[in-house]
Amino acid sequence: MLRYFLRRFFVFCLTLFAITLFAFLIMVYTPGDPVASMMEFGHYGDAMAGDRAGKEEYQAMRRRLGLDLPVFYFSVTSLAEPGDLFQIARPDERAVAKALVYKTGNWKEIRIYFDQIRNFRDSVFSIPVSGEGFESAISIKQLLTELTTLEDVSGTESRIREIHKTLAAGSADIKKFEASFAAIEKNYQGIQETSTPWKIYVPAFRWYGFENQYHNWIGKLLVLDFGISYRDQSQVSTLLLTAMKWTFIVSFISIVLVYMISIPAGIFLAIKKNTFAGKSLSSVLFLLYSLPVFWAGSMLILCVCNPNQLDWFPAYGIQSRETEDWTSWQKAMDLGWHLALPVLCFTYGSLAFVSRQMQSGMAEFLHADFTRTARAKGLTENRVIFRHVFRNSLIPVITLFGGILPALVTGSVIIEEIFTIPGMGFESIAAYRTRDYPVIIAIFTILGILTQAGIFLSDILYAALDPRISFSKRP
Amino acid sequence: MKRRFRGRISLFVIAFLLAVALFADFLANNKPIFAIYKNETYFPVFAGFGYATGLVTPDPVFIHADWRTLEFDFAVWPPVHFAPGEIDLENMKAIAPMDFGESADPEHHHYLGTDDIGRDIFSGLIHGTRSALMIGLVSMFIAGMIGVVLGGFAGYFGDQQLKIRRSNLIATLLSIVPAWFYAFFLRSEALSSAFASGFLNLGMQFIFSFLIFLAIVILFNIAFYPLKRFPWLSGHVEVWVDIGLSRLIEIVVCIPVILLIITIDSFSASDPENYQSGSILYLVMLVIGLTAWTVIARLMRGELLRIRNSEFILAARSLGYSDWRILLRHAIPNGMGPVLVALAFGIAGAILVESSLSFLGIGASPDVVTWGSMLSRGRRDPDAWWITVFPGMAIFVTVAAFNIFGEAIRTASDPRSGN
Repeated sequence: MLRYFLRRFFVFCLTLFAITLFAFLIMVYTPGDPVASMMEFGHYGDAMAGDRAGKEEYQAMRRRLGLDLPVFYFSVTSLAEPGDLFQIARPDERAVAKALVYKTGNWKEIRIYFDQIRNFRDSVFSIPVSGEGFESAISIKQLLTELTTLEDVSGTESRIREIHKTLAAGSADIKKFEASFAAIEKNYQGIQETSTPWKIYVPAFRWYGFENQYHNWIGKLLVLDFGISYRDQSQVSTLLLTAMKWTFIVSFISIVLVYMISIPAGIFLAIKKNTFAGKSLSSVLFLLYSLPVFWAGSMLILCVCNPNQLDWFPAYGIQSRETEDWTSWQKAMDLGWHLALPVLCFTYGSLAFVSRQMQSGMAEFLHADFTRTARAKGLTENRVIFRHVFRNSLIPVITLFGGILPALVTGSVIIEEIFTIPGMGFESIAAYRTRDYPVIIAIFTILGILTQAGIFLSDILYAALDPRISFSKRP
Repeated sequence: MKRRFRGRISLFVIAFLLAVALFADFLANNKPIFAIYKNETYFPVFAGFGYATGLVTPDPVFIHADWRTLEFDFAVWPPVHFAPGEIDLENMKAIAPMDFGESADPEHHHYLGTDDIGRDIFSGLIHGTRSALMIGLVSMFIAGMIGVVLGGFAGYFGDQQLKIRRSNLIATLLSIVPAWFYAFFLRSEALSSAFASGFLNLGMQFIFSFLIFLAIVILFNIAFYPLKRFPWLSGHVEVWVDIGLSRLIEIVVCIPVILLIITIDSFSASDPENYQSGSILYLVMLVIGLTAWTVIARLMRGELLRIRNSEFILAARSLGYSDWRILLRHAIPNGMGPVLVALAFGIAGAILVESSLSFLGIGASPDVVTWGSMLSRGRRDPDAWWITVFPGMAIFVTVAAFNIFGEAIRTASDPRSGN
């Protein structure tokens, strides 16, 4: 048993690793700039405009978020792509540098040119514009921004020529930049002359060591630190902890209800399989299984939460407003009143599934050899069913617990959204609408881990309860 | 008998839905099927397909015309005179079913009412069939292909049956990184731009990448061929197909599908290009297809574990057939029974996932009408019950039909059901 447990645990850890890797991959490929989302709007604008203080704040925030590190332990890229590309702070500038590298393949020359043009841009941006040179200064700034942030680099040459022309025609305070821009132009020519496009087609492996983003992220994950929410700069973990409380309350009540109803129902279905009552119950359960939960929820709100028709239940929320001077009993009743419909929606779907499992488990043992022996021994039918058949068929149903756990959590997305329960599902939709990536990734990771834990639990339960499962060797 | 009757009914319902999906443009549209206008004959619905493909240039008379206001000499209209998502400009509010007001001509009749901004429900139902069935069929096609192939391999070969020469194994392992580099890394630009431009294009690019991958693996194997002369390298090792598949299934099962789609969509939504062609539908198909195959693979594996020791496989082996031939011609076709059941249930599940997502408004694309997105508008007006009831009914009937159909196949192919 211990050996089975250890091996199963090892596999559990491996799959956990795969899931976190998957979540991390999605996170890394996020479009947009996470640093920008964290900075105050005005400060970000300063940083973009070449302001020194703003730029330093940008770098500091980037370091705080750990984004100044390589992404993973190693990388497989083209030989042309430099290993230190991640040191370029802004994602849009990084994309331009990458696009340039994948055109000519000589990073050393490109780097000189790219640093120069960025410095040039900042110095141009820092001069105040006034009077007659206004229009040409604006157009130069526009072109320089395009040169350093537009991922499509096919227009680089024409833009450089354009700047050259505007500088030559411009007024005195612009003309002074002509000399430094001539150097940049020369360097750009140099890139074309020394190009090594063959490097692009050679794969290269690079090792970065343990100082990387994934390593730090997974380390924080282990102590339940999911970073900071974009919405209000609060800790994601505290946000999700309160949300999880509500999801678990609803799920727990539902799971208890599902088992309380579907185990007797499954027994009934198995024994009275060919009677009218058995057939109609199985049909009703089957239809309930096909009933979309969001439709059922909407219909319930339409029918029994409708102020113009029947106003029996509250349509949203988890608490009435005036609860301060209520006794705890009244509060509990109020909570039950609010949760009645969500729990109903949660329950009915799994009902059919679990009772079907119970029924087929019972059916398997109703004609087993040991049942026949029990009957032959002269036991009453009730005793045969409850002492012999029922206890054996309970094993797969108990282990189903691991399987419905994730289904309940996923199903909660819709139900919590319909009935406005501030749980995990509700939070994930809210985060989706506000593009709050840290929260989305955290929920995704937590759910993946929970699912894996559910499967792990049910496997262990199965092995512990059913003596026929062999621990040492796979069947 | 009863069961068989149910199965037949569900089959009829599915056939009916397929017909509605195919002929949706002829059942509900804002232009006539056939019309004579100023002594010229037109087929406006067919011409609509022509414009979409770019083969036919539209007649200038009709480019901006509202067909309902034109005076035709003769016209055959579809039964429902509204296109899906088209706002009835005379009634920009929720109209109850069969409430025709004063107008007597069927041009302005909303048989099942309209939603809160005056879009015809019946037309939306008819056209929504298309996206619902497409999601179900395409995603389960992807899932079926992956599941049958992987499950078939794992079940037939197990952990001991598939043997490979050590030199070939080394060559293949060494080739994976370069093959990935040339097939996917260098082509990442082409692949990501194909994602925005539609499903067919993406499929073609992906197949092209896959072929490059395969070619490089084969090249490595050819290059390592001379190594066969060394005795140790020419020895055979077992490939653990079964264990590998089981681990893969365990990982894939843990991915919460709805949340994965929410996550990917929230990351790609900043790119407006993704919304032009309704590519969220493709994303949903792809994600469901790439996660739902585990059920099918598991069933196929179980079936083939049973089949691989049966007499007819032994007979095929003794005739000297190759493993591939036995697997593809004899083993897999005989193990398809449970897979068909799972496919029917899977279609129902995929339709449910898609309608849940569009109900939540995730990846809501304004030019594709789905049942879920129609249903979600019902919450804005508690008295307009028809906005909630009819689309929900459509989803329920479709999902139930596929579930009952699956159940019927299961009972028909199960020898223990004892009919």
